[in-house]
Amino acid sequence: MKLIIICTLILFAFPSFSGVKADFISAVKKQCGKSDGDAAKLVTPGRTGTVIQFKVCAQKSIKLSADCTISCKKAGATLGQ
Amino acid sequence: MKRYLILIAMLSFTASADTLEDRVEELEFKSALNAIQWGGSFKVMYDTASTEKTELDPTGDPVEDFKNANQFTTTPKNAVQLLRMVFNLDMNIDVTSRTSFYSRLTMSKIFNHGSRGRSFNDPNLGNLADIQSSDNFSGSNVIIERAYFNYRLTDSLTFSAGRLPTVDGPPSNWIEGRPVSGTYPKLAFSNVFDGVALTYNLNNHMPEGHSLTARALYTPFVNFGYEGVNDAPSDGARDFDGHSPSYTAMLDYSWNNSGFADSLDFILQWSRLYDWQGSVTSSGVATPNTLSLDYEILSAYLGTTNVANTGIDLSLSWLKSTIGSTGTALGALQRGWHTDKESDKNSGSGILASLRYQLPVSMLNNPYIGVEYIKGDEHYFFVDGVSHNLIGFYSTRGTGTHVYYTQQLDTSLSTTIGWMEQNHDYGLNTIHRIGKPAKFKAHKRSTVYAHMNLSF
Repeated sequence: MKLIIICTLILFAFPSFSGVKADFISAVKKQCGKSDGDAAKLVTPGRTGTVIQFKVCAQKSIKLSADCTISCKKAGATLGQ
Repeated sequence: MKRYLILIAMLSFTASADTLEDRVEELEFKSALNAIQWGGSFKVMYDTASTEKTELDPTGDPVEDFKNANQFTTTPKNAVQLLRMVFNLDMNIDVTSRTSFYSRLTMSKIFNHGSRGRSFNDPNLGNLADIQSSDNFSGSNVIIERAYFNYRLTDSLTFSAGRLPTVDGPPSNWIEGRPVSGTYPKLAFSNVFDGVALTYNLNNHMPEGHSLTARALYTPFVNFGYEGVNDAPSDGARDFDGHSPSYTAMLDYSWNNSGFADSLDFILQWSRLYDWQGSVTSSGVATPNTLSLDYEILSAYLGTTNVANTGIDLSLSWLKSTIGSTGTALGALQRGWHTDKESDKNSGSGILASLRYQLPVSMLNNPYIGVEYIKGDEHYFFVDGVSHNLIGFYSTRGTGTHVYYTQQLDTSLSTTIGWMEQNHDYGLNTIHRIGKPAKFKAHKRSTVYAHMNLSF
């Protein structure tokens, strides 16, 4: 019961980042050919985590595992896109 | 005791259960208010430059980035050491599902700019002005490098307007291991342009992994208010008022995860600027001046990364420049753009080859080592308005070599050390950078640098 309560409180205590995470998972699936489940395992939290690294795109490519490196696009870099 | 604690927790949860939806909604509203995304980069730079074997006759400026290179290296054995920094603050916001806005604020400066030596573009920044500039009540200037919006007219067609992302294109991003942050390839028309653009996305007609975009831009130079300066009947100059039209057409193709490489990019760009009657020197318009420039470029960029999973990146950039000149400046000298005739047209070309290798040494964070080679002929005309290197490397009329090493220190922090050398075959008139290019017998310049690059 305690676990349920804590999980419920955590769930509602933070805003949703599902769009950002979904973009990341979609990129992993597309660029590395991974399944939804395998792509989700590569999600790591926090500012230096994989999702935010992909969103911020400070580096040209992000190495997620030995067999998966994804590239990202810097917002506003390419006109009209 | 445990039971009581659990009961209290459950009661408190129950008590707020009917407001959870409101709380989530409130969080969503707050999130929407903070919809601006911020990012940027910061670079601290140490650069040295020196000139060797400068002959005195003919004198000339080897390159024409029109800003820094020639200020430091025009006299024999002249060497310079600079400490500089560049700061970019990027923001973007999806205003609606169809409209987005992007901006970049930029600061680029010399450390504690001193009073001795040459001014660096802005003479007002010498002496103590720099170290007092944050509070010297001199004005409200902030340099806006980019400010533009995209408006999606249809799923495929986007209209853009403002100060556009026309610099920092490929392969200039390779050196620091960054993603592409500009639309024009480096060896095209490397300046910050205001204008309007239409982008047509053909991805829906392309196979999986391929993308193709066609783009057209209008970036005119707007002239007004020069009456009395160059319009005076005595100098014979033409009316400066009006637009100097500038057009660009681009094709931008990408193929990602092709099997033989991570990415393959091809950009073809044509640009034309004509009836340009602007100043030909930072110190003012050369008079009498009846000059008009018709400048046309055709540029192609082909780049591929991680070829055959080897960590090797390769790119080839090519620029053909055609310089049409009518009229003259400097009176009796009768000089035009790349000519000594009153009406003339000349074409030249330059090529830039880049090779980069990512060392498979994970304990060193897989650093990059790279080399660039450039070759430009007599009428190669590349105005590199955003050059950071001190010798105007990418405008070389002759040959040049660049070697660099980039070490990743953290996920967002890297350091790059590099060396560049140019051997010039041709240069232009030292004062106004017009006239027929002069042949050099021997002219070599080099630079060594160490930069620290932070992206966030």
